Amino acid sequence: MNSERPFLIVDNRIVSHAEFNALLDRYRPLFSCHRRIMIHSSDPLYQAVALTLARDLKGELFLCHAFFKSAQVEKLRADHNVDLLLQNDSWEEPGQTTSSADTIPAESEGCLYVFTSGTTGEPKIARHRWATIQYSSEYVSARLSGRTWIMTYSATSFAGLQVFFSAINNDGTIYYPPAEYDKMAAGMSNHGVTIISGTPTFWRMLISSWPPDVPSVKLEQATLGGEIVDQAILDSIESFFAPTRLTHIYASTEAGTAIVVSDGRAGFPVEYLDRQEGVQLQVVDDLLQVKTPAPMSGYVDGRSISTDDGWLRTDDVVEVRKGRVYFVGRQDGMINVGGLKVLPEEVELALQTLPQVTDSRVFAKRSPILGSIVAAEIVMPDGTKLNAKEIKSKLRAILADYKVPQVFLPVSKIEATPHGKKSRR
Amino acid sequence: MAADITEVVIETIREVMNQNDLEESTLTAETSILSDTSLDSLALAEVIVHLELKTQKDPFAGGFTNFRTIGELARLYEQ
Repeated sequence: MNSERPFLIVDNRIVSHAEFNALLDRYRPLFSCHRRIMIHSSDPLYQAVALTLARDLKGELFLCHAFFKSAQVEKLRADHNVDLLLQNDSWEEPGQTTSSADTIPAESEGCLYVFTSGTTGEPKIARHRWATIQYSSEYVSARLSGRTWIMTYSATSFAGLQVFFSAINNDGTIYYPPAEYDKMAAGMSNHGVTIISGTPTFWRMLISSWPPDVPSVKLEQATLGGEIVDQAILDSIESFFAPTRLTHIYASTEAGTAIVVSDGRAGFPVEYLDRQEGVQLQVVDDLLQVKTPAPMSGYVDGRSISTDDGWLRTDDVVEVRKGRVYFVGRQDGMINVGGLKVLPEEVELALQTLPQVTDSRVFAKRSPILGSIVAAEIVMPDGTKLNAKEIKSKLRAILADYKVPQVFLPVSKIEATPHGKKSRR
Repeated sequence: MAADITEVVIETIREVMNQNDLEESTLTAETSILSDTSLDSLALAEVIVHLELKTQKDPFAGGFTNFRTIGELARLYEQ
C-alpha cells in the first residue's frame, strides 16, 4: 500500500495509512474477543476501523445509521444479543476486554448486518456475508486503482458500503465531504476526487450549486444509483464533468448490484432480460424480479423476499419501450387519484424534461374530492418565476391529465433522506 | 365577509379554468359548480386545494361536506 497518499479525508482532517493502521492495532484486541458487535457512530474514521477489523476477524457487525436515536440503538442491542456496543464516546477505553460471549469460533465466516434505508417505512436489517458485501469491489477496473473517491451516500448504507469497499480494496482514498454543496465542490477540487457515485438527486444538486469560481473536475468514473436515472441527468453529467465512463446501476440492499449500464442512455437494453447466467432479470406483472450472485443471506428475522426458486421480488415498476426497459416508479409509492394510480417518479421524470424545472418532488396531497391529488415541489433555475399554466400545458403533452400535478410549490431545494433519496412522506 | 369569500371562490375557479385551458363561463353565487361550468372532478379538487392554500382553512378536515353551488362552497370557508 502507498503510505504517502491519505487513507481518509474527513472534511478537512486527513488520516494517513499509518495513522489508520495504528488505530486498527489499538482496537484489534477488543474486536478479537467479542463476537456480535454494534457500532453507532457519526465518525467515518471509527466506522472504517470497525468495518475493517470485523471483516478481517470474521466477526458479526451491526452498522447502525448515525441518525438512529439512542433508545432505538439500546433496543436493537438487546433484541439482537449484542456483546459490545461502540458509540462515539465509548471508543476511548479500548481496555474493556471482558465479555460474556466466547471468542469468535475459527470456522465462522462472520457477517455484516446492514440497515435498509427505510425510504417508505421502518428500516429492515439485511444480513450479508463479508464476501457478498465486497463482491462489487472486485470488479472495479484496474485503471481506477489508487484514486480518490467521494462518499456522497450515508457511509452506513448499502450504497455507502459499496463505495467504501470499492475504494479501500483498490488502494483508494475516500473523501467524506461537508454537507454544503458549494464547500463539497471546493473540497473535490482540492483533494483531487476523480470518482463520484451518487443518487440522481445528489448529482442535480451538485451541478446546480457548483460555484462558478471552482473549476469543474474531470472525472474518471461517474456513477448514479438509488433512484430512477433519467436522460436529462445523464446528459448534464456528461457535459459538466466529461467523465471517462458514465455508469448507472440498479442495486438494492437485498439484491446487491443487479444492473450496470454504461452506454450513456437511461434504462437498460431489453436483451438483459434474456440472460441465463450471472445476474438474471425477469418482469412479472410489470414488476422487476432479480436473481443475483451476491444477494443478502436474508433478513435478520429470518424472513426472505425471495420466491422459492430464488427470484427476488422488487417493488420497482418497469415498462418496455423500443428495445429498452425503463423504471417507472415504486409500487408502494403509488398515489391514488380518485381510483387512478399515479407513480410520483413518473411525474418527476416528466417535470425534469422541462427547462424551467431543475429538480422536483412529487407527493400525494389529501383531497376531499378524489382521496388524493398530485402535488409537486419544484426547484427552478435562479430568476425563473413560476408559470403553472405553462408547466401544466407542457406536462399534458407527456402525461395523462390526472397525472399532471394540481399544485406547484416552488422551493429552493428538495429535502433528501439521510441516504440522498427524495423523501416520499 | 360572505361576499368576499364568494369572490375568492370565483377567482380561484377562474384561475383553475385558465390554467387547465377549460372553457370560461359566467360565475355567480348561484352557479352549480359541476353542472353549470366546465369544471370536472379533477379541476374541482384543484379548486379546493387552492382555496385551502389561500384561506388556510380546511372545511373538509372532518370528512366530506356536501355543496352544490359556488355560494354553498363559499359558506364552508366562512366559519
